[in-house]
Formats: sequence, structure tokens, C-alpha cells
Amino acid sequence: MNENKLTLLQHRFINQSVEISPLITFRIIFGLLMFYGVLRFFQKNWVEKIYIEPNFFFKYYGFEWVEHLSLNGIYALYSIVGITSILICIGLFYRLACIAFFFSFSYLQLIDATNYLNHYYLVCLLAFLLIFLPANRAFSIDTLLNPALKKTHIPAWTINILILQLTIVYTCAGIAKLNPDWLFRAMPMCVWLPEHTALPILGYFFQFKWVAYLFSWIGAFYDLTIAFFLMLKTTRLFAYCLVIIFHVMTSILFNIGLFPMIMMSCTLIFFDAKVHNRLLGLIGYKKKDTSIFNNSVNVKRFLQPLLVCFILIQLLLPFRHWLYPGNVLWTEEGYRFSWRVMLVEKSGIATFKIKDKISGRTTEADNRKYLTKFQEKQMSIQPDFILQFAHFLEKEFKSKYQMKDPIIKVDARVALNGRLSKPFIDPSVDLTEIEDNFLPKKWILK
Amino acid sequence: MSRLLFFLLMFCIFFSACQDDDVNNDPCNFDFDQKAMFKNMAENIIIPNYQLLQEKVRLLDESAIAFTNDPNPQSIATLRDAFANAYIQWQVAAQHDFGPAEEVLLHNSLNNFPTNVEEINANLTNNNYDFNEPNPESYDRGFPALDYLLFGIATSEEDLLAMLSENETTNPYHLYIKAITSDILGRVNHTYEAWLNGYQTSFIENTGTADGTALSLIINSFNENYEAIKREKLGTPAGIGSSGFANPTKTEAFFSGLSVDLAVTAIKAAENYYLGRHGDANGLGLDDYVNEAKIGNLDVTIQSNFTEAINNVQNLGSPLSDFVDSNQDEVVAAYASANKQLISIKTDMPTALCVAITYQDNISDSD
Repeated sequence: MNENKLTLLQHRFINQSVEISPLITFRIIFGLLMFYGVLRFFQKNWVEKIYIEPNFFFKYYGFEWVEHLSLNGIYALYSIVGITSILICIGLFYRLACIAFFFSFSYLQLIDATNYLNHYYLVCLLAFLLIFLPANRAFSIDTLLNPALKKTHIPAWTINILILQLTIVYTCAGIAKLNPDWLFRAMPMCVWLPEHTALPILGYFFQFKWVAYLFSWIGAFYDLTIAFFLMLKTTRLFAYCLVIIFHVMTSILFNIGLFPMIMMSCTLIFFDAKVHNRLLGLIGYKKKDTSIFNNSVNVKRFLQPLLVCFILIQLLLPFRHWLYPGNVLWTEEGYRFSWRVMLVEKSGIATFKIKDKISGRTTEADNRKYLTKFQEKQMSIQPDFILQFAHFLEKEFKSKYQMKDPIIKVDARVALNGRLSKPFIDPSVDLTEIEDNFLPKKWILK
Repeated sequence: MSRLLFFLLMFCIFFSACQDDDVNNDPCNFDFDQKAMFKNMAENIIIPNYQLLQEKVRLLDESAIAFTNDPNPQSIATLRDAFANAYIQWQVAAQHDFGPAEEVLLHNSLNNFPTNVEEINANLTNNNYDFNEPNPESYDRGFPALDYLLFGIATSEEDLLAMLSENETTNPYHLYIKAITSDILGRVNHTYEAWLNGYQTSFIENTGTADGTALSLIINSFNENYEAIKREKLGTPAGIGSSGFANPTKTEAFFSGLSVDLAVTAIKAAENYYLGRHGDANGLGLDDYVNEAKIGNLDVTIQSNFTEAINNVQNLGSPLSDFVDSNQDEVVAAYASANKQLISIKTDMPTALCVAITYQDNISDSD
């Protein structure tokens, strides 16, 4: 590639000035969706169930310091999320609102890793990006209050970075589906689809195994290619129809909450400004005749390395499991933050044995005493949770039962994708001696 | 470019493919007549279990009334017999804790143990108890409370008979005993009648593998019950959760000493339920379903686990509360054999039958 071409590319994808309307749509819909998400969370009474009921919370590596809050604290934080969603939507105190949204939403996710969901992670990432995007520079309260902010055009990177993010999500989800369980055993589709045989018309087909294969292969193909079909102008409309069909289908079949809505609305960003002008026109947006373009919203110097890092991390993180031995679906090393969606049907039993070195006596922990059913289910299939829980038991037995130096071992068995259960963790390893880190966990049985 | 992409894809596939090992490569590909199994279970196991339970708890209630009308050694003996028979039959019916049984909190009302003696004594003193108030955390009712009232309120047999016999019209024990037996009878009646009046049909028709279908109800309650057998009947007394210090007073039926009989009955009932067996006939059961799934030797494992657990528990001495003091290791071994079974029926069986494990109460979304 010669230098000329490179500059051309750079111009086209980064510096070229484009109309602002796609970003405006994105801002409005994102805000609305997040607000709806908060209402839905309240309405389902999840606050108590997720944040108050448990006595113990699993943490993400490096975020052990995150404290869980009181009922009022959680409600306050969710209220901030709700209010800032609206502020983002109407574009008032936009940047501040984005920052507050990002931190409060992320904090809520960090409290208990049990509830990790890929689409919550995606929301965090999008909110982070929105902080730096000029999505309030038109059709917003901010520009009403301060017309000097108004822009009709923005540099192309501000839209392309969102497109890139969504492309990474889809493509990585597709690559993750290229595993033998998904492709050649139709797992877990052949477990999940027959649950819906009661659905009208479609349900009839779910009893057949070939339908599970069909869904698996179509799903993989869709994830791998949809972003590229959305990029090409000729296929875009057709591809977007597929987006609608695909996500409506998944929302009917699976308990995946906001995810389908997030993807259906976010992918609108692939459409060019003309479509958005018309769309926004429905709610009173008028395209200005005179263009106001100002380089002040161009990539700021300090931002450049930050965004490059962000993109690099996004490109590499989903593939970090290649650095670990074994099947990622089994070991879960490098499983999270990698767009692995709907890939496993997994269940397990973990029985912890606490031995007092001095008296030689052994006690079996009753997991249900410390964990909710959902936490126990998640813990028994994820090695880092098993380790965290063992460390919690160590503290508990030291303080409550005056055990000086407990040895904690676990009998863990896991059944993955239709196989009979197998031993999961080396039962001879004293988990109190092990610290979590990013090195391969040798105590996971392969 | 496209060729490069193709190779990259192939690389990804093989990269993960080579890590796989010998597995059932065609999971969930079977055709099993669920309705026939549900029909066998409902008509030949569940309903007869409840029918017999109803008979026994009616006898229990009648014996309680007869006894309070005329307390004497004979009527007390009759009442105690009726109690033992009903308690044993409950072990058989306990594993169907869904639908009508769940509506009346059957399990929690009939067999929460160990008995909360203090609470019962307080109830007796205040003459204040209402079993209609649903309280799953209460340990002052059902069979464990009768166990205490009929066998435990005094240390010597004479004192106990004297306490139960005295002051015939206002004896608080009489009122409490009658309140319990009629509470038990009422709940069992409701459950049995609900099965006869409609639930049976909807149960048999409720096919599929989703949450709330008959299959998931069966597997769920079957597992919960077995988990209770393991933990409450064997594990707690054996000191599994208490640094190996035995808890003889926490055995089921501590005062009457029926513990071992109850545990054996419960495990045998689970085995029959699993096999779809009733009397000498062996109808369609979970074993046939598991075999249809053609996954390893799961059925063989489960059956031998049952045999082992039954043998181990049968060999325990009675009363368990005494036995566990002198032969704790044997109780621990019995616990271990029950625990082993739990892996097979809780993790492997649902996997084999291609039932998603949703019974553990998924609260949030998934993805």
C-alpha cells in the first residue's frame, strides 16, 4: 500500500466530514433503551434478588475492591443510570451524563460477576465510546442552550468507531460458534429449541434435530457475515431485514432480555445519513442548509492513543483463550468479554471440604448457606468463582469457627453440552494455597 | 483475500476440534413417549402413593380423636402405630412435591425437622398456633411435632403416658395433636383430590422439556427430595457439615427412633419412581428414558447407586441417634453413597435427557 492510498483511506474513514444525523439517532435510541432497561429491572424486582439477597458476591479479577451497596445505594445508582439515560437521549449535559452513566452502570455490573452478560458489557463499551463522541452537537437541549455547539457535520471516525465495535461483536460471536459442538452436534441448540415446541407453527419444527443444525449453521453464518452485508450499500436494506428477523426470533426463543433490542437499534448506525435525516425528520429534526463543520470535534491529540488502544484491546481480547491450553468452553479461561453467546449448556456440582490442619477434622460446606441458587449454579461451572468461593470459605472458617489453617479442597463435576459429567477441578489441590491470576490454571482438569 | 479467510476459518475449526474427545456425537436424538411415562407415573405411582398416604393420615387423625376422647395405654399405642405408618408412607409421597402438593406447602408442613421443641412448648403454653398461616420455616408442625408429642415430652414412658392421659378435657397436648393431625389430613386431602380432579390429565398432557413441563417438575422434585435424604436424613446426623461431630439429636424422628426405616423407605421409593416400578410391574420410568438417550452407562450407574445406597442405609442400626455415636463411619459411608447418586441424577440425568437446567431459578437474563 503506498502512502497515497493510506492517506486516502485515512481521509475516508477517519477525517472525512460526514453528516451528524446517524450519531443523533444512535444517541436518542441508546438513551431510550437504557431507560427502558432500568424500568424493566425495577419492574421485575431484580434489585432485591440480585443485589440484596446474596451475602457473598463474586468479583472480577482486579475489581475485588468493589463494595456491594445497601438497598438504597443500589436504587440510587440505578436512578442515576435512569436519569442519565434520559439526559443522553435528549442531549442535556451530554458529556457529563455519559460519564455518570458509564461509571454507575459499570459499577453495578462489577458488584457481582455472577450476573455477567455480554450485552451489559457491550453497553459499558458503547457508553464509554459515547463519552468521546459529539452526539449532542445537533438536535439536543445542549445546542438549544448553547447554539455555538451546533454542528451539521462531524469527522467520519465518530460513526465508524461504533460500526467497528458492532462488527467486532458480531464477527467474534460468529468465530466463537465455529466449534465442533456448535457445528457438528448442534449443541446447545438441540437442547434449547425443543423447549419451544409449544410455539405456533415454528414450534412444530423444533422437535426435529435437523432444525437445530439449521439454526446453528444459520446463526454462525449470520454472525460471521452480517456486519459486512450491512456495510455494503447494495445489501444493506436486505441485511437489516435479516437483523430484525434474527433478533426477533432470538428474543422469542431465548431469555436474553435487552440484547435483541440493543442490536436491532444499534445496527441502524450502518445506514447513511440520508436515511437518518428522514428518520429523525419524523420527530422534527431538520437538516440545516448551511454546513457548520469545525475541526474542534476532530480526534483530539490525547484521544488518539486512547482510542487506538481501545480498538486494539477489542480486537485481541476475544482471542486470548488461544493462549490457554484446553477447550475454552470447558475451562472458561478467556471466556468472558469475548462475545461467546449461547454456546454452552453446562451444569455442575461443587462440594467443598474444609479440613482443619490441627485437629484433622473435615467439614463439608453447605453452599446454599452462603449462595443463592443462581450463584451456586454459576459458581459450580466457573473455575475462578470456585476459587473465590474457596477463599471466602477459608475466611469464614477462620473467623467463625476459629480454624487456624484450613485446607480447602473441592469435588467438582461438570457436564458440558450433552456429555456426562466429568471431574472439573483437581480434588487434591488445596485451594487456599492458590491465588488467581492470568496464568493457565493447572488445577482445572482437562 | 477470500482464500486467506477460508483458511483462517478452517484453522479456527480444527484448532478447537482437536481438543475434543470421545463423546456422544448425536445428543438429544431420540424419540421417547413422554405421555406414556407420565401416565404410568401418575396412575401407578403418584396417585396410589397419595391414596395410601391419605388412608394412613385419615387413620392417624381418627386415632388422634379416639385417643383424646379416651386416653389409655391402648389408644396411645394405636395412635403411635398410626403415626409410624403415616410417617413411613409420607416418605414415599414426599418426592412428588410439585403442583397440588406445592400449593399447600406439603413438604414444609409435614416434615420440617429437626423438631423445634422450644417453639412447640411455647405454642403449648400460649395455646396459640395457627398452621394455616403458611410458614415454610416453621419446625413446630407435621410429623416431627407429633414425634415429639407422642414420644418425647417426657423422659420415661410412664411419665409420658401420664402427661398424655391427664386432665382429659383441657389437656393442651390433646389439642395440639389433633390440630396437627387434622392439618396433615387437610393438606393431603387437597393434594390427592387435586390430582384426581384434573391435575392428572394436565400433568400427562404437559409434554416437552421446558421449565414447568411435567418432565422438569419430576426431575426437579426428585432431585430436591434426594438432596434432602442425603443432607437431612444422613449428612447432618453424621456430622458432615459440623467438622465430623455427630448430631444425634438432629436425626429425623429422633424421639420415636424411626429414622433408619424412614430413610430406607425414602430411597426405595426413589428407586421405584426412577424405574417406573409399582408392585411387581415395571412400567415406563426415567430409566427407560435415560436408556433411550444412549449416553454412556448412565442407567447402570444410577441403578447400582440405588442398590449401594439402600444397602448402606439398611445396615445402619436403629435408632440412628444412638448408632451414629458408636458407628459414625458407617453413617458417613451411607451419606457418601447417597451423595454419589446425586451427581448422576442431578447433573448427568438432565444432561442425558436434554433438559436445560433451569430449575435452579434463573433470575436474570442469560445470553
